[in-house]
Amino acid sequence: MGVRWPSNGNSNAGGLVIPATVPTVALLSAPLNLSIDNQQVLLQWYLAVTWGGDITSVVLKIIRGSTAGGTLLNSGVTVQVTSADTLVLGGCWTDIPGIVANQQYAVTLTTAGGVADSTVADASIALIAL
Amino acid sequence: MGLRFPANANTKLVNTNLVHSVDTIVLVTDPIDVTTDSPLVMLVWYAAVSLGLGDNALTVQLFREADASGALVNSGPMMNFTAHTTVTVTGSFTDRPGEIAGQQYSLILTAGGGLADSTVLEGCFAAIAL
Repeated sequence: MGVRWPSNGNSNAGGLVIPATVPTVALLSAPLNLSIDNQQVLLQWYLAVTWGGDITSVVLKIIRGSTAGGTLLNSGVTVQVTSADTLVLGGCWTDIPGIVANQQYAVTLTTAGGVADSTVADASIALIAL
Repeated sequence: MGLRFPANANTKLVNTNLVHSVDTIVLVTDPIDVTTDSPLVMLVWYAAVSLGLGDNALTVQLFREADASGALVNSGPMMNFTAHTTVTVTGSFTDRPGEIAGQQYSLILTAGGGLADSTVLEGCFAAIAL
């Protein structure tokens, strides 16, 4: 097989509840070891979320770390959603975290506009060292 | 470190203002050299766009080259959205440009439906030789 670059991916069967207005880790990668060469990491993420009956927007953050308190990588964009609909969100991002072991990444969601919980129906995240 | 395949991924927005109905380059990959073996190149892209007043559609075009002078790789689909909201678009595509040095790819967005400009908030574009 030769050399294999560090990478991992994991998928959730769904069911995770996103409480209204609470920053919640909706996706968490497994640890990645980037122990030499400061490689760039490409993140690919996918979420299908059923929004609460009164939810109208969501803040999407890509985090270097395993919790909402990690380093924010993207701009933390606010996306408008239709209440009670199921929407697919996805995208990619890049990061160069340095020479580090056990690097994890998280995608957090913070809903707004109402008080109803939302539910993750499907989710996947992949990390690929380039 | 062994063998590294040609790849580039970045989040550098070339333009953030989408003038109504004007094809606008949003993201460009840095050059990659695919000089041996005619490898398949996988493109992964993502953009978050705040649609202008009345704008309710985005056309997404992927070009082989750093601008629209190159070959259109995809079909340039137009996607419909609720006007004046913030939305995300994402996807992947493959191309086999042949054995060539300095190959770049560009992502061009066109907002339609209204008369106001739209704004690209964030984005990512990756080209990975497989």
